[in-house]
Amino acid sequence: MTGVRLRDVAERAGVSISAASICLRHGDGFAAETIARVRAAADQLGYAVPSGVRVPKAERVGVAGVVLHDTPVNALSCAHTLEILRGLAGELTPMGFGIEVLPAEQGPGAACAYDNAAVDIVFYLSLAEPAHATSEALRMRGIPTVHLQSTLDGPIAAVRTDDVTPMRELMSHVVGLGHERIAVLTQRSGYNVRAGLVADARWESAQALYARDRLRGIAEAGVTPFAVYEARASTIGEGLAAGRVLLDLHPRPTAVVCLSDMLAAGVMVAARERSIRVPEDLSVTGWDGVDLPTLAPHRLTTVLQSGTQKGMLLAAFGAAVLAGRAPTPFRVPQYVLLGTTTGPVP
Amino acid sequence: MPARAPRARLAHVADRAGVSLATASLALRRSPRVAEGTRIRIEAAARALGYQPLHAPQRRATPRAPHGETAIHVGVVAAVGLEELLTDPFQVTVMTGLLDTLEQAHATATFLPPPDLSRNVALLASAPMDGVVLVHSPAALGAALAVVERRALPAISLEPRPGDTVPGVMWLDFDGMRHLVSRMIALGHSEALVVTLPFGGGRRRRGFVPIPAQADVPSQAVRQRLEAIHEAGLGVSAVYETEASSVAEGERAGEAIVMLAELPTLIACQSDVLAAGVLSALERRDIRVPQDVSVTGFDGLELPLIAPHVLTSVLQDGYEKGRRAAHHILAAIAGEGPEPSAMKLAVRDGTTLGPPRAVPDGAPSAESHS
Repeated sequence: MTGVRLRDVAERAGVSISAASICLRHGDGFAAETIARVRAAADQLGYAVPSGVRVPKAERVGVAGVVLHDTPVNALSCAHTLEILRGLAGELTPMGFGIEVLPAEQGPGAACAYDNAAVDIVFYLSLAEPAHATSEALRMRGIPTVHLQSTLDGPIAAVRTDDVTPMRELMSHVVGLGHERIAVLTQRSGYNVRAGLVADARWESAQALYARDRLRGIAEAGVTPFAVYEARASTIGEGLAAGRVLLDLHPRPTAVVCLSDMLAAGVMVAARERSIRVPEDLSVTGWDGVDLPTLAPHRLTTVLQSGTQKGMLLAAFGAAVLAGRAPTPFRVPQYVLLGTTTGPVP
Repeated sequence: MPARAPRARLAHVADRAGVSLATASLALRRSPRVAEGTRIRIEAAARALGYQPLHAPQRRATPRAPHGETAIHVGVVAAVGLEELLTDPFQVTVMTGLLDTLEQAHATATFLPPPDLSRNVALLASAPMDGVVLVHSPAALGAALAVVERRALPAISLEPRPGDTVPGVMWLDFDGMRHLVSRMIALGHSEALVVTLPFGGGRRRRGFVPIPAQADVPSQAVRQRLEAIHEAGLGVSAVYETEASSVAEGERAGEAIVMLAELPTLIACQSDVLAAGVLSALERRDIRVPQDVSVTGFDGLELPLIAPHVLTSVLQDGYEKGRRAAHHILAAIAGEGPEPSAMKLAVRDGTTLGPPRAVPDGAPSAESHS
């Protein structure tokens, strides 16, 4: 019916807009009495109940949800994640969207936050994994969800990357320099993950898809890691802790291949603590190509991917989803970038 | 917590019941997450203390969830968008403290677009929120503040000013800087070259500027930190204004400083990232810190990459500021009137401040770079 909006129904029934929206659809979680009251209000006002699951544009809340992939402190301590968030926010703000930060799926209050999120769409900063219980909760509420990233053969996400090939190329660079004792610093984010050396270093066992692909790249380059350490977040602090363990091994690795620049920067600090020279005594590689100006005069040998660009593409993908289209994932290339932190084996 | 208690506050209730503030708040809002026995104990404590929520329940942001729990929505209002807010490493630490603490209390934060467009102000008027955190001074958020007041939303300011109607969490910036300056003077310094944050007021400049009069500096941070130097009795030999608080800007300042006819004995930077940039410029010229020149910062950021140096700085714990803001706004939403909270700043003693080099004129290190 013309002129009558969900807002009017909500007001008449004395509930919030999102409550009205839910009551008019499936009513999950609401008392029968509330559902009846909202539906009666809609009837009286002549409000046409939307048939699809998507809330009409005019009834948008104007807020997009962003699900972090880890605790806020871990997520925001990673320069690459900050780049992604900034890229995403830089697109959403001019569209007039507010941004509600939602906890990771294992985070405290996650279920409550997803049930209550008054948002039009939810962006996941994590990799697309096959099953997300909480995405289900959002889907039931008719809220579309978009994941940031996926591997080439993974589920649909805004961005697809090939992590195997650049890692294979990076490894042939390291192997070409004569390194044989190559340690790998991998990472698994999430709550209740323990950091430390891992016995099972097979790439097939890696939990995170992107880690699996990068470890696979290492295996495909014919390298068997000398030691594998799993950090629990992509932060300099975690890299430092890992570096202290790896660089105290006897014999010491001559190269540490890190799955992120933040971890690599932490290893650089551990090396400095031990007066181990980079790259003369130790080669270190990262991944992401983030700006680490305080690392100067060093520049990490790394694999470059733009977090800002990924965030912008995530927003573009989400905007298309909101417009009712089924967009194709963007392919984002990654390049090996040689810096000053890799050199011939000592 | 001050001893005076004209009115029972949620904290007193929590104290008496032997539970956390968050639990007390949840229990009084009858959250099912609090065990029945605990809730009864908290309600009894509230009655015994004559505790009364300040505000009537606000417009509820959200429906009762299927899990029977009501989520708390906290709006975050800044003069700039989230993208720009996250370019400042210090703001990142504040927001991290805020988000971590809200998450523990099962509350979420919604970053509103800046209130410079009427559309964005309209969103502020309609977005589901139980309370707001104002990142910038309420005066800088004009239209937004009016909406917050009209909605009678509890609010807390991270940049309070005298005369504000919104309570805030503030730094004793001035005191912190004065403590640092007294360290400098005790070591024998008589003057400093100051590398400042942007003066504000819409224009951006980079380079040496005349020592400004107070009225010429719109930015309160720049003004107070300069004023503290004067007040503690240290001379200012020159002022270099930067365009932004970044390592790159600090490097540019450092490069300009090493080109001076005489190297200063002390470079006081108004932020840690600026100081990190200055350090890197000095290191490239093989100028020793603190033997040839001392460098200090302001913020107390963790800068592991400048190791083995530890920057001597004023420690303002951004994470703690965000954490406090979260606690204040959660208490206010629960009906507790938030009170202004002032945080003392401590000096972080590092390795970059030492006595001035012995020969002020024609010191070898200065000569080799002139």
